[in-house]
Amino acid sequence: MLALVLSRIAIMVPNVIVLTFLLFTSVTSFLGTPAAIMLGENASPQSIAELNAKLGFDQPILSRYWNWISAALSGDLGRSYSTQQPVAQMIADALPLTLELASWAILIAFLGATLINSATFMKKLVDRLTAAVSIVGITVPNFFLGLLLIYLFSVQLRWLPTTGWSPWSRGAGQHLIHMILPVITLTTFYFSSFTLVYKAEYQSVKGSLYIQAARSKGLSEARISYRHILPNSILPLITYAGLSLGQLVGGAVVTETVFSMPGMGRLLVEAISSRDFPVMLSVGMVIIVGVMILNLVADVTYSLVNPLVRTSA
Amino acid sequence: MAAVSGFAIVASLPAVALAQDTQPVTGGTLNVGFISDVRTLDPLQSSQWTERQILFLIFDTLLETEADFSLKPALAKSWEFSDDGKRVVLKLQEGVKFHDGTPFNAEAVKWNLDARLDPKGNSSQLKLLEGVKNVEVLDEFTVAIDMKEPYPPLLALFADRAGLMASPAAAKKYGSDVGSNPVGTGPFVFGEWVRGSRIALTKNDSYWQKGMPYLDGITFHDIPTNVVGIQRMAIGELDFISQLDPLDTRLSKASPDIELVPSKGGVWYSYQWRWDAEPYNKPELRQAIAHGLNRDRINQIIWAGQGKISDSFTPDGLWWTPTDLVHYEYDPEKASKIVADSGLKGTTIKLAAPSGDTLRRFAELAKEDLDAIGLNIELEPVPQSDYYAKAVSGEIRFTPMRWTQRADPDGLIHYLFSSKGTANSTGYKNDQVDKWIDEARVISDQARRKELYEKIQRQISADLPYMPVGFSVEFNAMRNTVKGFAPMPDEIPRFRYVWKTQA
Repeated sequence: MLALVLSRIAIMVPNVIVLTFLLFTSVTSFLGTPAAIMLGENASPQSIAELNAKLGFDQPILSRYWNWISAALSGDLGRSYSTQQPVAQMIADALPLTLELASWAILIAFLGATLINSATFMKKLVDRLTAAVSIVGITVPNFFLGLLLIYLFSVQLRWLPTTGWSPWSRGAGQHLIHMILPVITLTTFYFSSFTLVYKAEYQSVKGSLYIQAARSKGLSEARISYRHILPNSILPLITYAGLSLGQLVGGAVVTETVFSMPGMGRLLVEAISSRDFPVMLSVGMVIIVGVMILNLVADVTYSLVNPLVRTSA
Repeated sequence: MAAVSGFAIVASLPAVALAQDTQPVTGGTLNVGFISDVRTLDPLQSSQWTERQILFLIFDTLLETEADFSLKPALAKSWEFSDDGKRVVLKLQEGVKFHDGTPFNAEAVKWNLDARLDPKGNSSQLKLLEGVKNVEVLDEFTVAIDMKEPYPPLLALFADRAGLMASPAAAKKYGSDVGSNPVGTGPFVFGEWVRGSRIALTKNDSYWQKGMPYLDGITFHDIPTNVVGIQRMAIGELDFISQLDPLDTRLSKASPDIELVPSKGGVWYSYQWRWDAEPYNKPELRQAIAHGLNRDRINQIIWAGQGKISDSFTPDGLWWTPTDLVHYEYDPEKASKIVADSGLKGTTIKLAAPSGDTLRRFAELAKEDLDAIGLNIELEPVPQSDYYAKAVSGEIRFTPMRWTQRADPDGLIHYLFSSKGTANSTGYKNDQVDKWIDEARVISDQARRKELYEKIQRQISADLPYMPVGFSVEFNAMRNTVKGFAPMPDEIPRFRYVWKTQA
């Protein structure tokens, strides 16, 4: 197990270097320079050029990348061009919210997709329900779904607040009520795709010999479903869930924007609109490293659940 | 229906009558929805439009602007020019304190102006204040400003960002974090800023203007789109949204609790070109474009027919707005004939616009009009971040452009049309106009200035460094419990004068 983790970490290091270099070159080459936006509409071309030089935009890209990555590795993410705050602080403020939002979404989607779709006693209802939710979840964009939920639950029914966020410090109740709509928005996509993967696997396991054997022993359908089919069909879903974590970033960006939540997604959107390169690069790096770590966690979980993988590693 | 008639009544009343329709009551929190691009609350560094509506609450300006852009006292209770207009002495309010308890005085004014003038400080107002030579403290509440040459428009700058007075002690205490910890003398004190979510201000209980402000607090909430904003307003979560375009207002008209107040001036839009470069230096080409653009169609499509077509770059109702400019009638036949006669048929010209924006729609509509008169327009998208810098440096040669009004005619006229203007992006140069501009900016007799500015604008409209389109229309939407709001020509809501009839 330790060997598996160490070998995966050894692969991660060059991956991080290559990906952050691609991130750096694409961000700083294609998005123009920030000085014009920072100086506003009274800026002269001369002061724009001066500020660009001051920010290092006249240096070659390799040396700029080296300056950035070496500072970042020593823990210095720099200061935001626009807010002048330390970027590390801004990320520390925004990250918990996104992690919480994503955790709720993945957890609910994962448990929901496996438990509900294993329910045999009201199979027809579950099938219809999950088919309907899956179609919505796969086809309707997050942005539209979020606006639709706001319209339905906040504007028409007035059950829930429209703003998606209240910090824990203002009370757990308020916090959780504000979380409901964003979590539904983000969960719907994951629930849908997990359901599709899980159902396919469920069907193939259901037909296997050991399930027939269990049934011939006279076990109840519910017990067969939850005790025998579920654990065996969950394995591919773990891999799939690990792989779909990258998409979570896009989902969080959209959800946080619709619901005005101060998370990493919102931070990224604002940084892009104001060409705040230190923030964009650091958020990008956190996402790259984060997705890699989460994939590693998914792999380790998979090998814990599936002894075959463990022995071969 | 009620909202529609409410809109009609509000639109026809002057601001003063609107402000007096009830007696102010105190208390309550005003919830404002805005599509936030707030980056800093440091007035010395601020450059975004949205920041100003918040800065005007936390900070006071030296002077204040009225709805017709005339000036009234604020932190400076009086002013006097001397030395042939090269020196202005400001008498300051006494007994005013910053929110951190430090006194507001002449030293504080000197610190604020010196900090803006320091080239190392990168202040967004450095360029505007370059005429200032020296700031001198005469006594505790008197400060003198010496200028390199007479410059009456300076006072108008003191009613805007350059006149917002920040606490020197706070700047020292917070250093580069002062943009997240703003300390002024204004009617509201900075509370909390949850980036991406909200900015909350609370009442300044010891505000120096007695009886002010009326509200207990103002909270600015981030909204992703105006559609969401109007929905939140309909259920009472928000009280006010500004900058709605005519299409947004359809939604708000469905709610009886929402009133719409049209903006006062609107933002000026035009098509501009490099007046001094091929092929735009040919007067025939400029004439052909001017007659070939269907401005009414642009108004119908982009502003839902509610914009105001204008031959001028200043809206009606300002003292320097002229009445008799050259009018270029939409006449595609005449335009085609000019193109054919002057051998311009088939000339390829590139029309640049930033991607994903109103200006891009302006470019697309112009292409349709100008292709039809025999020109060959190629659209050229430019990244938003590079657009302004490239336009001002003259790298972009033909583009739709927008400008907001300044509180003094010199603000826009010198800036755009003097051959020495910092944003003269058309390369326009007319020695006679230069002379008039230089003359008009140093005299303080308004009647004489008006005469000169009319001459200048007539000459510019004949020379055609750009083709004016007109003024956009925008709306402020507010719940009908909000009172005391009067639209300003700079489009910035002055929430400090607002109250709510129910908390």
